[in-house]
Amino acid sequence: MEDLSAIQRCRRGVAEAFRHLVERYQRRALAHARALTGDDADAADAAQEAFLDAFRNLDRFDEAREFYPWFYVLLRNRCFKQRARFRDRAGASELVDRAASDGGSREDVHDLRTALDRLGSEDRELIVLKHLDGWTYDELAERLEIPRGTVMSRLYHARQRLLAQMTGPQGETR
Amino acid sequence: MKTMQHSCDEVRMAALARLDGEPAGLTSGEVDAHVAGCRSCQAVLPGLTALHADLGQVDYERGDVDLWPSLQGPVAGRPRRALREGWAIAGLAAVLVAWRLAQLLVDLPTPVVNSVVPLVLTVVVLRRLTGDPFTIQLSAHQLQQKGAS
Repeated sequence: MEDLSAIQRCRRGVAEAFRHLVERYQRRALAHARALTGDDADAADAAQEAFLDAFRNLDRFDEAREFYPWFYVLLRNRCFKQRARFRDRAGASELVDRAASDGGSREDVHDLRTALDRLGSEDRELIVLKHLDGWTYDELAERLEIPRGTVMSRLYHARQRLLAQMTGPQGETR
Repeated sequence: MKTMQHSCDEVRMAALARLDGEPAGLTSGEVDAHVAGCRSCQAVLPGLTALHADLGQVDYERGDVDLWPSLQGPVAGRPRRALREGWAIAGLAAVLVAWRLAQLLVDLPTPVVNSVVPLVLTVVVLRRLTGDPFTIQLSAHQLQQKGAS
């Protein structure tokens, strides 16, 4: 079943048709949510809520567009809300980015995935969108509402921080 | 020969953009010339290049997950937004008609209340219907600023 057909069936009241969209996009949604929240449980909650938001708002979906970029806006909002809830729970003194503030010595960083987990969420989001989704700089700029030059610069610094997580600080620049 | 027209950051950014298949702002010749004369970039770029390749191999969509079992109940039980809106507006219309009929048939003694109640009811219903998940978009940066303030 194609996305559009599933959406049209949902709009006609066939709730079961939504299953196609959930099953097709849930892994990708969880990868993105994890990048944004830095936590598996929060990611699952945010993804679940985002799918419910999508279902409730399917009538507002423009059929000329693709489903996932539209859904990603909902998912991103849910992740920010989830992080805000965490911040409220944890208290104002704690950093929003658990992963970035997570302790542990550099010796503990054995692989790229662990290093990714320790990056800040903005860095992680950018890297995941670039390498999982293959978004171009122009697409990233448009969807994250930042200039293309900022995309280029943020990606560079994110990768540099990631490399530093894995190998230690790099040589000085001039 | 060293070329110092561009900073190391500019050159490394351009080198990574080139790996991403994106226009880099600097020519390959400018990048290569800088790297040839810069020990720091010679030390850093191989690591960044290898990292770029490794990032393409990461299994971001890890693990087996199935959100459908937990979504199935709410999705089946929750009427979609348009349906809820339809019922809410139909209910509002019915109440307004009933109120108007009551006004015509019964001599109500409080004309201010007569005119204010339908207005308040309409505003309340419309307010309830305007919850919009697209309007809460804060960037992580804005969120951090909000948290810091």
